Amino acid sequence: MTQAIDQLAGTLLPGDGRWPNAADLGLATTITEIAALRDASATALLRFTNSPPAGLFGDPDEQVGAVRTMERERMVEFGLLRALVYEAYYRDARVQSIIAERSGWRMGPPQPQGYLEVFRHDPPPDLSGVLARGVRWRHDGTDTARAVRAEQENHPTRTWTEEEIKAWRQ
Amino acid sequence: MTDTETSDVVIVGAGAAGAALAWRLASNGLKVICLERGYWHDPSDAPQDRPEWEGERLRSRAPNPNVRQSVEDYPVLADTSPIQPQMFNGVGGSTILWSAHAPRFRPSDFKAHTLDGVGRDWPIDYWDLAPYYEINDRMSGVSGLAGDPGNPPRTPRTTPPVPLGIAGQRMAAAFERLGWHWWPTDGQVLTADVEGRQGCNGCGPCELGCARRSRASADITYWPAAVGLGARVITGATVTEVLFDSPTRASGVRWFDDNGGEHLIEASIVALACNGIGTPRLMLAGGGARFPEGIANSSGLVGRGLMLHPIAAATGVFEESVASWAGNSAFCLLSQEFYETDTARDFMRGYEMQLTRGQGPLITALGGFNLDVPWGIGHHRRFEQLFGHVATLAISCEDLPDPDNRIVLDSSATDRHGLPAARMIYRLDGNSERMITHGLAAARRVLLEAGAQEVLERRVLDQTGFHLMGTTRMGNDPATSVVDKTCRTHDVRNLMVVDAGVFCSSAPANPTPTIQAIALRAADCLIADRGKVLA
Repeated sequence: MTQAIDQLAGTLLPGDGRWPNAADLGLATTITEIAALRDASATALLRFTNSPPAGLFGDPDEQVGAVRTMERERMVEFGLLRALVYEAYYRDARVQSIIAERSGWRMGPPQPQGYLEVFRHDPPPDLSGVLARGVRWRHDGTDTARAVRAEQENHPTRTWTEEEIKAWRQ
Repeated sequence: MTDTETSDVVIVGAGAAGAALAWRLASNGLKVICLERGYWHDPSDAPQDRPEWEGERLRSRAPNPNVRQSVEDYPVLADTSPIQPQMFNGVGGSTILWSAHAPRFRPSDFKAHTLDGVGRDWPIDYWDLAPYYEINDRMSGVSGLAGDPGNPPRTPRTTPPVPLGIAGQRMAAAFERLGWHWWPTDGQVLTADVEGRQGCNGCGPCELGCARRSRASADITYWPAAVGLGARVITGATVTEVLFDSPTRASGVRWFDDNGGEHLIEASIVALACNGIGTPRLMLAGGGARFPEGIANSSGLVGRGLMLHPIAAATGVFEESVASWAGNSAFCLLSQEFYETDTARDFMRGYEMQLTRGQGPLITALGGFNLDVPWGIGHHRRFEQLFGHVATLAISCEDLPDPDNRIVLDSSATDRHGLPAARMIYRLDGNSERMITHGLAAARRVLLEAGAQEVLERRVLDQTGFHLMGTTRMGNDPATSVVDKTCRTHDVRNLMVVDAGVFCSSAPANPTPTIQAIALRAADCLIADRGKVLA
């Protein structure tokens, strides 16, 4: 069972430069645990391990061919298995450290820190151009629309109160 | 033995609409009981601080009930639809798993037929709803910036808008160079600490929940206030039947608890707030022998006229990082340049474009909304090109009402209490197809102007059936509508519908603020008429 899962993982995510081959990370246990969280995934994994596609244990070309056949002929099952393998791979600290190194992303889940550091140097939005182009919403034929549009055209940055807006009701 | 309770109002569904309705009615002294088939969900359980956070989107936090398959969900069969249903059953409803993008409809959206000769007019207009949008903003907390010339004025927002970030700034500059409308988006996500809710720290996937409570959901906004005023929520409560004491007067509901125990609630008003799928399903299935064609269905329109928002996506791939893992996933800026009808174009009505981001490694590797990431040789190279380097413009299209797009019952599957599944029958019309083509071309132009090296396109995102509108539409004529302008059904005057099913048009904009504004208005109409309708 473990061998089939590793073989699939390694075919989907082979090593490339610094990126490890998924088969070398020992992900089978994690994959099985993740699969257990959803019936459809557990069923797909069980079916796969009970009857791995022909060629999965062949030479590299046969392995790719076997997985391609599964992708084509057992599309839903393949989608579930691919998601399992990817989740286990991209949760792995060894993989996340590579992502962090190559992208600037901070490894680990996004909370509790969040990503405010990404926005620290954001300038305030410059809306002068949009405002200069004037009121853009379409008149609906009511007197209220006519009056509100005129006021908005003449005083585009004025502050409106809830009481004023309440008075718009016909 | 069946126990029976009494109430002034029984509300079915504790989502965005049911919560707003309950609060407003309880504020005016009415006794309110709300029955919710799902449960309370502690915001602190949101998964963004756990290693499996991204995977939860594929399981317990999947927005598609057919994927999630929680015990409280009911099946929605949609195998022939290009867009799949998305919803959540629980206190807070689909706001538990929403992205909190909170635009309002525009005045023209309420008069599509008069202005453009397509779709239907509403029996109310924008100006009727504007005060209720304001109340809803105050209750929910909204970040943003008043003054958008693309919309009528509104009051100052609760907190400043979410930051644009690198991608947002690039896109804003591109819109500006093209002379197209854009504006920082209103969102029900606070960007500063307000009354026990922490300001957003830009973690990304709002739709998974929010432990900081920056993101609003009806369970943390309206419900605590409503419960404080005496409203009651009963969870794990599945309503199977609306009860009647005459053909034109509802008397309450029958519901079942988790253990199969049967209960009755007698009420002067029955309000359905189960969304544009759940409400027609209950109206079609829950009338018993007295109403085999469905409750309040003399028009034959219950379930008909389903409108979604067909959503296309154009993703720009940038050579430099734009840190696209960070920031609110579904909103920061919005363009409504192509919102209104232009007769020079080959489609009626319009669409809006919103910048999306916030995708982590797993979702990027799986292709996210729109990415092309191979498995095998080449996977890692493509992942590196994409992760952190993309910005997606989602093109949200107005959907015109079509009676053949509908919700029907399908007994081939049932929920845990034996009620038939809903079947969603939906197809895109030619207007939507042409609108999508235009939208993708416009989005491509902006992305290239912003410096994208490559633009990936998808015409219709399948997992985007969040906005379920039009299936119990509002109108003045009982022959062509299900509810009147106060959300009471024409046929059964003490039966209300207060979800997006009552919408007469979909607009291109996300519906939740409009749903909640309508629920608040419906409450006020009921209160004004309480002497007549409350037994």
